[in-house]
Amino acid sequence: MKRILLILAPSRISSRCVDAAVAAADGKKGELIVVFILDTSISEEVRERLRNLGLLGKAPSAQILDAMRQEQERQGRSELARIAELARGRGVACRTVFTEGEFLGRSLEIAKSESAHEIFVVRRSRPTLSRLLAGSAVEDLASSVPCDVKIHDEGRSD
Amino acid sequence: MRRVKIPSIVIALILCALIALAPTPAGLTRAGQNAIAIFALCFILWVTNALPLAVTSLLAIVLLPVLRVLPADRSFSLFGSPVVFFILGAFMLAAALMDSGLSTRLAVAFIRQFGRSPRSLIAGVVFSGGFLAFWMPEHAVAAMLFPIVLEIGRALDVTPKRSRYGAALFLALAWGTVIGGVATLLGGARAPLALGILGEHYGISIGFLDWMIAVAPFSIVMMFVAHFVLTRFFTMDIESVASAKAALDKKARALGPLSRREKGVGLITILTIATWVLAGVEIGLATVSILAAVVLFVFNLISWKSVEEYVNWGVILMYGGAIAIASALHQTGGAKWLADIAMARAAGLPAFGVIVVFAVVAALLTEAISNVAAVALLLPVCFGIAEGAGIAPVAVVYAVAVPAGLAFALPMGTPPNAIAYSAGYYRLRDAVVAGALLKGIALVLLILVAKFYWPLLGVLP
Repeated sequence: MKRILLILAPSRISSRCVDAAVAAADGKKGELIVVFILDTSISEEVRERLRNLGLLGKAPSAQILDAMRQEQERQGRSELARIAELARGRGVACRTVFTEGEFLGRSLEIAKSESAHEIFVVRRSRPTLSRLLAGSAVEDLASSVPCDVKIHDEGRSD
Repeated sequence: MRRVKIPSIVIALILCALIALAPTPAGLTRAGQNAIAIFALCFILWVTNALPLAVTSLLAIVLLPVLRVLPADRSFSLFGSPVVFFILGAFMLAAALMDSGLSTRLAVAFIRQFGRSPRSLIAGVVFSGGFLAFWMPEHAVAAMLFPIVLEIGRALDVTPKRSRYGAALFLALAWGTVIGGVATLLGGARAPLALGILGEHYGISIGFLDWMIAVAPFSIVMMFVAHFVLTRFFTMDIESVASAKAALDKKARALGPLSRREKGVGLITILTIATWVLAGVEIGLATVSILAAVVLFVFNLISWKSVEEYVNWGVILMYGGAIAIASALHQTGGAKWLADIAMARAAGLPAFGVIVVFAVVAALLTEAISNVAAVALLLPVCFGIAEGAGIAPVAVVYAVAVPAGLAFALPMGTPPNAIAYSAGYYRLRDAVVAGALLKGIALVLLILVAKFYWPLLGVLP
């Protein structure tokens, strides 16, 4: 059975990508594995911004990050449940995984451990200049795995 | 992220070196040229955020004596500016409000009064954020309100990025605190910083009450405007807010009765604000601020550990450095030389037109960079331009510092925007489109205030 991997994260959610992954798993009579990664690098970015640029104290920064983490976990689990229901409604075998870590590293680990045949992933919405200068985790993922990677942009047509 | 930092630092250093090593133009001293070189370096580092703001300030403080712009003792003494201590004391007071739980109690009590309909709940978030940011730094208010608004969102079961009401709720958090933050000298550090630069340049200041009278009416009207924009721009796609009201009631019950510590902090806060208003000019804002902080310790209402937890000591470096750069530009004639170039392009513009240009530039710049950095970068040059145009420096402070606080669109503009955006309830384009609309209205309103209201107060002729 072919394994279709759909990788989501707090800022990497797209209905179009979800639909495409479910349709691919349905068409190939494969298993859909939906992974939600609680991206710790984003939390670190926010922490750095609040502390260094917002000049916010340690305690309020920690309170915000804690609240944000809980919210993102809630949103992630709810999204996983919604997609699993959607897939099962179409008769697609579906498994969900909730995990935490740096997006690219965790994605590569899971793609390898699950021996994915095809990966669906969402590219974060951000300025082109920033992408050119800082690189793209999604592009790095696509060039590091042996299988086909379908990239959808966050927010487009959602 | 690191890949972005290095090129920005290298570009900033090269530009600084190029300016410092170029032949000195006519009308500019060598010290003035070097001050401009340091200013350019800080400009790039503050805009790109390649280094923490406070570290950029430290670099500037060190470069001023190295490049013979200011003597070392003078450069380092600017860390001791009274406004730095005013900000420090105000942050300690805010720390006591947050640590005691009084700010959370006030916010919950305030929002509960508005829990009748979806529209009124949005008003509750805008006005509670705004009102609290009159008396506490806006970023601290946003940090304190964030978990409360998250609870409201959960109770209403609004879906992130899909519910328009959810988007409005979190933008209400950001916009309310940002708008309230400009009303007094306590809402953010940009106004005290502007006063610090004003004091260094001209030896004059603006009183706590004078600032409030000039800006608070604008701020209050803007809260109504923000509520109007939010409730018209975003569909109210929920029927009832009863579940949010129930969650707030539960939270209020969990807070229990008002503690002795909350009462003490509340009393000292009221007395401090009253002293700032009634005797701030005579005693000095910084003196009142630090005295209030000491009284908090005397009555055991806050511990040093809590202060360390809640106050980011980088503020001292950031504001001391910003004042030092501004002072160096002024004393060496660098600011005047830059202003003459700008004035040559703006020749023929009436004084009020120059004020409008200051406000528009500050409002636009603050969307992309920290609003404190926007004030630090703009004010020295604007003072120079204003001298040529015959505009009073106090008017320049209002024209730059107020719009510099009004960042509505981008998360990088100000911490409340970054905090609200991080919840994931709205898309960037929601904030950009609605924020641009609110920014446009705010600028028009501010220009009207400058034209018709400020002359009544003697701020503008």
